[in-house]
Order: sequence, then structure tokens, then C-alpha cells
Amino acid sequence: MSYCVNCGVELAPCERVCPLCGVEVANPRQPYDPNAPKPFPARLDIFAPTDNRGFLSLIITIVLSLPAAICLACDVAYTHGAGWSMLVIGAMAMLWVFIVPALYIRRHAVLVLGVLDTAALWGYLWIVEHFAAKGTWLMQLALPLVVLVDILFVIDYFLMTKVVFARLKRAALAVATVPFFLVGLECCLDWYLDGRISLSWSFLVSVPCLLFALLLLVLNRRERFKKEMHKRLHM
Amino acid sequence: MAPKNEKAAGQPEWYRLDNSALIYPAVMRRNWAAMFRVSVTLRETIDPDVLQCALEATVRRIPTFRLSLHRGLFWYYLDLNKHMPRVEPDVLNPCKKIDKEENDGYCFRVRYYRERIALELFHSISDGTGAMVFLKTLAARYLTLQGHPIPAGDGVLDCGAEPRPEEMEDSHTKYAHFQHIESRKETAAYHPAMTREPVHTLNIVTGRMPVEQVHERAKALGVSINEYLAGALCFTFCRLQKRELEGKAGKRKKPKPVKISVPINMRSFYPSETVRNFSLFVNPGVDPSYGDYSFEETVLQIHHFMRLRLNEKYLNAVLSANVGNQKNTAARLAPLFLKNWAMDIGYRLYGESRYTVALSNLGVMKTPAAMAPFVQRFDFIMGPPRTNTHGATAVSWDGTLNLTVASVVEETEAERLLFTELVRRGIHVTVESNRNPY
Ligand SMILES: [Zn+2]
Repeated sequence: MSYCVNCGVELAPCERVCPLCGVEVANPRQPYDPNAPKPFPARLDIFAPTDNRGFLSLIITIVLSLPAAICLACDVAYTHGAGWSMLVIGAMAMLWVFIVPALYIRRHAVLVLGVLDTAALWGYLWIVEHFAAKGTWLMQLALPLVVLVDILFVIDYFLMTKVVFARLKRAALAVATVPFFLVGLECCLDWYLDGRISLSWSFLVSVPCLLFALLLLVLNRRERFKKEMHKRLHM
Repeated sequence: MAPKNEKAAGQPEWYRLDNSALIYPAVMRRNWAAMFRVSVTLRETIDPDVLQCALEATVRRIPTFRLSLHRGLFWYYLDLNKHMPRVEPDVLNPCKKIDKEENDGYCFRVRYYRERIALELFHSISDGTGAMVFLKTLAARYLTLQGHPIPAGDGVLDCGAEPRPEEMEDSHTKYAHFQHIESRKETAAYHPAMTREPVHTLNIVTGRMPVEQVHERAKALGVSINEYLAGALCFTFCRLQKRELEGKAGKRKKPKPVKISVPINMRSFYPSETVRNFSLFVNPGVDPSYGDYSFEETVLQIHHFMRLRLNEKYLNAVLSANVGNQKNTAARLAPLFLKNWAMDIGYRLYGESRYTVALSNLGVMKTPAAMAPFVQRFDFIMGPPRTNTHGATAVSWDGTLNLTVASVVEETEAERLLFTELVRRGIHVTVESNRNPY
């Protein structure tokens, strides 16, 4: 028989370490026997994941196609196919692409989801340009902004998945991305409106964001704070 | 062979939930239900096919287990199950909630591992004593089928006989005499702040100790074994709370009372033979606001509290209050979802928040003399309530007391403080666990 040198309790022959304190059995006369029968088998009984994604997608599809169908019918019946219903149909289609694939795509395929969502957004903007507000804004303002968001998203995603980041560091990274977006946004707006770039307001918002990111990074170093946050906020 | 669904004449088609059972479906959650488990370890490896035969005979004999839970408009009810339950291999994490689709709607499982037969049960079907009757009848039937005939008696029912109405009765309504109705007002108790494990996890640590040594220590203080263990548990959580408060710098350090919920088997007060629920709870404990109670003082506080409460008249007043709520006309007319909502609030106010940890002790097991040589040990495990972190259980057999602490948290501090305290008091404790598997 072996006793835990730390707790004084005798350990059943199946225990490799003391279940109370984790100290390993160190008995040269009777070393731990890995073949001793364990009190419980290894099989784990876990909750079956409830899969109602099919049902959920069906509901979402019906809910989204309803306004689209009504608008199309009204468009054809009262305004002789003027095309305004395309805005609603496009919006619903875009929402559908945003929501339904997200139910099915696993976490590691977030980039696929990103491509799909960008395409959907782009398609919708094109519909708006084509049927409602013709102009240069699509190519000169919307396209650069969509590309900017995509680039920032890909960079963040790469950093978060390929480089091992702790929880708070991820939050810091997300906050640190905001200034880049703001600067980009101001550039695009200035270029579209005035044809030249002079940065002003985006700096004012960027400074607090960067400071906040820095604060999160500092807090990340405090082990106890991290544990407390995890205990209180874990999901 | 007779059809599997045959039902003895005069046996009810369905059952109301008994008074203790009402609360459990109402407070159930997607990932949590009030489950506990009793198991018996024999001396030879269990044969699943023989166990299946024994199980089928046992559910015919004890029809109150052969039920599935359904929602009525006003109450839940238990309906006779058309299928036969199936035995299954044991798992690392017992007492997981039984999903509706799982198990053909049964509210219990029978699991086997090496020499052990385990019964896991949803609390609406029965309490620890009733579960033990089922388990012992099952084990006796199993041994009989293996060629070791076991006679009935000492909590083993005869599988050849018909079920008797006394076994199926709701003893709460039968014995509540409404002489007085006790309204219990209790304060919130301390709950340790610890790190929760994933939902399906149940960490089990069992300390095995000689009954004689515990009895000696208890006798020295003039208390029962149950009171001694409750005292040790209470003392443990007082120390945990003290440490927790010392860790919080700057805050006002107002400790909460540490209370142990001790189930009382009401069959010891009334001649009830029911295999359904028939137990009540009392919550003894100490309030560290008055100062730090020593081990002996804690044990004595628990002892005196229990001696004050454990008499037929007081317990009947509590029983009458519970049954009275059930019989209340307004309560009966309320649709089920309203009742569930009200009971859930009641449970939050008067249930698990009022105690730190539950300690359920089934005492020394009895079996027919012919069965005893085939039994190595009995075990008892209780999954902690929804917001509690630990559940403690005890059962004794053959001079050994198995004190099991089941927890849903990562930390092992409570178990460590409890068992090292017992060791310090000269009790030889052997621990085993499912914490470091494979
Ligand atoms: Zn140890």
C-alpha cells in the first residue's frame, strides 16, 4: 500500500497520483501498477449535440422569402416591373447568405464564409447601383471599403489562428484593428469627395483605441486577473 | 413465454408524482437533472445477458420504476413504459441527465463494469432507500440466475410475487396529518467560488474507512456517525470559506452560514413500505459570523440541531406544509408551465441556495444472509444540485464506510480538507477517484 506523502491518505492501487493534491506516488517498494483495475471505465457519456440546423435554415428561408415574394408581386402588379422589388429581393438574398452558410460551416472554414459574405455584399451593392442609385460610388467608394475590411479581417484571422494568442491578446488585437479601419475609411471618403487625402478625425479616435489595446496587453500579464476573468466570463 | 408488456391485474396504468418528486422535473434543465446512483460490487465479472434477464424480472416486480415521465396540462405524470429497459456498459462520468430520446423514456439506467452493477436514477422515481431496494432485488435476481438462490427479505423483494399496493403508495399524502404546518424560513448558505468543469463532468473521490474507527470518534463526542460526517463536512466548508474571504483583500468580510442538507428517511418514523420517494431534508450547520467553530464545536452544533428536529411531530409539520402546497386549490388549477415557474422560484429561494452541500447517508447496508458472501461493496454517488458544487454520500458495508464526494469543479480543496481532517483524527482513509483516468 502507498500513502500520499502530502495528504496522509492511503491511495488505492489504481491511483498514479493522489486525487486530492496531484502528488505522484513515490513508493520504491510498491511502484504504481498501471494494470490495477480502475474504479471507472474510460468511456465518457456526453450530451448528444442537438442538431436542428436543417429546421432552422428552413424557417429562415421561409421568413426571408416572404417579403421578397410579396414585393415582387406588388412590383409586377402595380408598378409594371419597375425593378424596385429587386432591392428587397437582393437584401433578403444577402441576409440568407450571411446566416444560413454560417450554420453549416465549421470554425476552421471562416475564410470560406468571409468570401461568401463579401460576394453577397458586393452583389447587393451592385443591385443597388444598377436599380436605384447609379453612379461612380460603387467603384470609387464601396469597392475600396469592402476590400479594406476584407484585408483587415484576413490579417486578424491569420494572426489569431496561426500565431497562438491568449484570450486577452485576441481582444487587444481586435481593438488595435479599429484605427486601421478608421484611417482607411477616412482615406476613401476624402478621395471620393475631394479627390485628395488629408487625415484628421480618424487620428482622434485611433489614439484611445490603441491605448485600450495596450491596456489589455498589460492586463494579460496579470495571471490572477486573467483567471478571474475566465471564471466569471467563461461560456 | 408471456408477452413482455403484460401487466399484473389491478396495477395502475399511470402514477401521479409523489410529493417529493414534484420539484425535480420543474427544476430540470437541458444539461442538468437531479440524478443519483447506487451500485453494488459482486465478486465475479458481470454477465450482461444474465443481468438483462434479471433487470426484466425486477421491473416487473417493481412497476414504479417501469415508468416514463410525461407532461400533463396541470401536472407531470408517470406512465407505464411499453418497452423493456436495457442494461449498458458503465461510463467515466455517471449521473448525467437522461435525455428523453435515450433509454426508451426510462428515468433510470442500469450499468455494469467488471464486477459492479450500478443503478442511476432520476430523483422523481425514488429516493436512496427505494433505489437500494431495486438494486438489491436486481442483484439478488442476478445471483439467483447465476445459480446462487437468494431468498427475499432485508430489502430484497421476491421476484416471483406480485407487486403490493403498499410499495407503490405516495406515503407523503398518507401520513401528513396537518396537526401543524411548519413554515421554514432559512437564510442563504455559503457556496464555494470554484471553477466549473464542462457540463458532462462529474469528479468522484471516494474515501474508504473502517466504520469502527469513525464510530469510535463519533462516540467520543456523543454523536452518531451521520452527525460526525456532517460535522466534518461542515468544518471543511467553513475552512474553505475562511480561506476564500482572506484572499479577498479590502472587501468587507462577512461570512455566510455553512449548512449541510441532510436527507431524513421518513420510513424510520412511519411504517411505510413504499419504494418511491419518502424523505425530507433538514439543514444543520454553523454560522461563522459568530466566530470560528472548532471541529468538535461544529460536530456538536450539528448534533444538537439534528436532535432538536428529528422527531415525528416536527417532521410531520414539515411534511404537512409540503403536501399542503400540493393540495392547494389555486396551485392545482394552475397550468403546468406556471407551476414549473413557481416551483423553480421556490427552489431557488428554499432549495439549493439554502445549503452548502448535501450529505446523504444510507447507513449500514443489510442483505439476506445468503447474499452477503457474494457482495464486495456498496457505493452511493449523488450529482450536485444545479448551483451547488459538491454532493456527498455515504454507505457502509462489511465494516467499511464509503464516503463519496462528487463535484462539478476543478479544485480538489474540499475533498482534500475533508479527508485529511479525518486522517488527522486517526481514521484510516483509502482514496480512489475518477479524476486521473487512463
Ligand atoms: Zn495528496
